[in-house]
Amino acid sequence: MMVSSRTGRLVGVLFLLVVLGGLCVGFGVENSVVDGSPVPNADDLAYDYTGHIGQAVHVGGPVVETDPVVIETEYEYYADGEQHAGILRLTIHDVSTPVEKGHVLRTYAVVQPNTELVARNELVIPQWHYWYMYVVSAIAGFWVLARLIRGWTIDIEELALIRRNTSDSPGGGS
Amino acid sequence: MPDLLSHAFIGYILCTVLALRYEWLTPAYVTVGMAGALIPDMAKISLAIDGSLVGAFIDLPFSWFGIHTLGGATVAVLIGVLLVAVEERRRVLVLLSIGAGSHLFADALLFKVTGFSYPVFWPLTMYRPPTPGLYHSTNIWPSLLLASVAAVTWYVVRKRPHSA
Repeated sequence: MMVSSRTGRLVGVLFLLVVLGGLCVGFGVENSVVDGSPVPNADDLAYDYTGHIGQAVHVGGPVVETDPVVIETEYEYYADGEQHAGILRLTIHDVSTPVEKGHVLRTYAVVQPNTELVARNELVIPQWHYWYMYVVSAIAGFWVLARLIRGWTIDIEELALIRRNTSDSPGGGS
Repeated sequence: MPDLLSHAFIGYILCTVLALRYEWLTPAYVTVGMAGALIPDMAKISLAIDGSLVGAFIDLPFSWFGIHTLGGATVAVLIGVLLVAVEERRRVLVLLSIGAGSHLFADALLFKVTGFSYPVFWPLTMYRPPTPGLYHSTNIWPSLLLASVAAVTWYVVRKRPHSA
């Protein structure tokens, strides 16, 4: 049955939003710190640090000290009916790439006692690269939105998007 | 792929090239493909509202990254299809799918310190395919490269046939 009426469309969208929410819950279950994420990260360390000693985890955060290398990584997880959030200070040994304060270090490292880890692999990113990424991503969002507004409009009666025929032809535009 | 702009360029390039074959694929439809290419990154809402906060509110584990998988992107595409008029749905389904699929694929090629990508095929499987690590999400060169390809594509498909 085609969902074509205004009411049908609203019901359909709401239903799909619930399904989408269910998928997000399902993915959260699969990656819950309580049962242990498939690929442990800072959230898992914050939940149960000693339980991960000897395991490899992937963590990342800004470098706050360089000798030894210390990063501060944020964690946020849901467990025991509450949200837990904060910052972990981790000392990373065997970092082969030169780092400076402010760089972002991502590493796949083996957990040792006393918030020390031994890097197996790493990636060092200057902080300004992240600002570049945020800026161009915002540009992308505005660009697509502008194109959507130019090419489509809302049929208020049906609450549906329709093309603006007057501005669109096979050979014109971009 | 690195940033959202690169994903938008990929959507633009794929759909504009397809316009060579399908005359109905006007710029308005290309935009649909580009919008599809942005869909998986709706998971970035986590930057504003962390999943753990939602989890605490509903008293269940919750991760926005569920959107950035095959299952989540499929449902999001279907929402987009429902939002358009009936006569547009088949084309919009195809174009949103092309865009979203290109995003998931491009992100599966990202460099990861673990050597493995994300569970792109979830909920079918939590398998994380190994990644060739072609680029990182903050690399600049991919968007520059794709911008160049997009410009050439625009010229060949849209500009040149009508300037001759």
